[in-house]
Amino acid sequence: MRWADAAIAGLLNGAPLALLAVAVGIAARWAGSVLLPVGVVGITAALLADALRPVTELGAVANGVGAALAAFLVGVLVQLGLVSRRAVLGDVARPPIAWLAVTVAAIGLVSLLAGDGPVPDRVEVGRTFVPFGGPTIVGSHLVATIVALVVLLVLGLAAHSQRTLPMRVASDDPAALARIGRDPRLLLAAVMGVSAACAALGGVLTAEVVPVERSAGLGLAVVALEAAAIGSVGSFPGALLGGLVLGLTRALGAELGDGWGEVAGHAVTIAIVAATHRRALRRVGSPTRGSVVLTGFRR
Amino acid sequence: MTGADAAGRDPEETGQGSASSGPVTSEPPVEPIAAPDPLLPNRVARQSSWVRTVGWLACFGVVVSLPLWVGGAVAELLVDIGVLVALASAWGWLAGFAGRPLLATATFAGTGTVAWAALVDGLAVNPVVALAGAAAAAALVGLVVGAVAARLDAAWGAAATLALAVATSDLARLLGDGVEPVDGAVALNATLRRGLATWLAVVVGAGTVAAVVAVRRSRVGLGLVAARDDADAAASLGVRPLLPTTVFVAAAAAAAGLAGAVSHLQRGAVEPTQAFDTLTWTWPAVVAALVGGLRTTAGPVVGAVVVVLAERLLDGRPALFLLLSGLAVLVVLVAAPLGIAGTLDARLGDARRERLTRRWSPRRRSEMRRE
Repeated sequence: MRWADAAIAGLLNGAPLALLAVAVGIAARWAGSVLLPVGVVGITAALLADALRPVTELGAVANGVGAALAAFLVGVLVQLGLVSRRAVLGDVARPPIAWLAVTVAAIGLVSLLAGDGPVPDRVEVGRTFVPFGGPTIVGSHLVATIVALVVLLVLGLAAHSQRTLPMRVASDDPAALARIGRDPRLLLAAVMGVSAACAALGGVLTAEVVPVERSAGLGLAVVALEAAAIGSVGSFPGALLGGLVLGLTRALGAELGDGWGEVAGHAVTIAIVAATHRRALRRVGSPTRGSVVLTGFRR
Repeated sequence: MTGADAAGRDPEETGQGSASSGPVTSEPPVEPIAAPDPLLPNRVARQSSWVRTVGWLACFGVVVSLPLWVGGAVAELLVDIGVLVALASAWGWLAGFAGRPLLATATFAGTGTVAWAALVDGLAVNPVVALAGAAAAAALVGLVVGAVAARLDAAWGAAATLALAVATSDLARLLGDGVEPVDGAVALNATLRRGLATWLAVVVGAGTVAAVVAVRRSRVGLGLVAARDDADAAASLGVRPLLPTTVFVAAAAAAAGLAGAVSHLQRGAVEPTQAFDTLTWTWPAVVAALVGGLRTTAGPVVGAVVVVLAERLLDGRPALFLLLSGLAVLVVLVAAPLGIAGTLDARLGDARRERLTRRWSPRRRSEMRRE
């Protein structure tokens, strides 16, 4: 029953992880940037989930909405103020370093305000269900999963809408957008804001399901990248698949002992990426923004 | 060439027009502008290069002899600075010149450290000789990482190497949990070990800076810079960045592995979790390179001094250091992208250029001749 409970928790964690993967996908496919969720996830998952400890299952949703709004603002401001400015690092090397700096500052802030160590487990405050006498399901986990699935569905529909078309092509042809009277910088900032909001919501909901260290900004960013890499960068079904695989792997691995969950997740990701993208990695360059990984995923 | 001389000047401009072209005016002929001295740029460059070489050699001599005449506390500070100079120089070259901001410095440093500890403790190799093994092990990992990262663009390369660093850190935490710290160099006398570590740190730091300068001026290094700026144009000139990038990532990894091993030689013990920590190894290197100044030789040195002193000032408050260093990098990226050394170099360089231009201008030289 212990393994079954872990498997259920892992699968329920799949949807929040998929939100993190979608955040990576939106930033990568629509704005041509990666590592966006790093700072925002670090702030939201650790600080907000701890500071605004929910007393009911819906408390996590309220936390997530608040964090998403804050993260949207952070994403827009960082994109406009830092990433889009020219600097000595050049256009390609600047975004990851800028986001890394935001992340580290966030980790420092979180550690200063709340101290190191894991966010306290909140399982006891949520109701639990034992359907058909099977494995135990925690109410807050279920709510987190349902909210994540709903947001994924809304984002998936929005991604195929004509209204979001300018946002989706903002990084592909900014000159064309400018010719039709749309400001590419603002559109890119909006894209990064949406991606940051996804990352924030995913981070808070993930912290509801699995224990998260307060200083886990870098770790959660890597989890998001792994979920995206397993499924497909920019694909909503792929993100869900990646989230489910990674969530299940990490939950089952964690049953082996402390620290095994993370290592199992990394191992599965490396195995899947190596098995599916060998051909892509043999090529150099790419027709779109030079991303070999993206090209590989589009096969 | 109708009526123009060999230099392409119109005959009327030079006052050498033919008789049929019109009456000769009584105005005195205009003195032709003296052609610039073809040796002038070379002479200035040669003088500048000679002074710079002597200056660097003097600095190198002073720095290398430092451990002989400084005390224990300063020696510890020198180890930290030397190690960080090596890490920041290697990272700064890859990020600033080759356009590859890879974030796997902690993996390289940890690999070198663990290999060194294994050689010293497991095979009883001399701690100094074992440094070669540390560099080789880190270079091997760097070769694999570089081969993959060279095929990715800058942002994905950074993401992939950050993932690698976090994965290796998790693995080290898992395997190192419950393991006693490895006493790598206990066999050495403590004083001797500390002095040796200081000298090695200084040599590794200065050697990395010298290697970066040499690579930067080499044909291959210039090719990588060209590929960073315009990959298509560089490719049309025959620049193939794949192999050099891979090799240079391996070289940077070797420097990081050496730095990690030397740092642990000073401490006398290795703890696997700390040896692979991204915030201990990669982040300070990034801060030092950016704050000091990317694309400058002195930048990593200045940045390393600033970062190490800041760490000492904030000793016991790592969270505050992370917050302040993150904000400092953001401020540098926005307000002073050249960093400390780059900004100073730009200002002093402008003044020096102006002074040289004034000194060697044709008018000044003709005045000097008349005098």
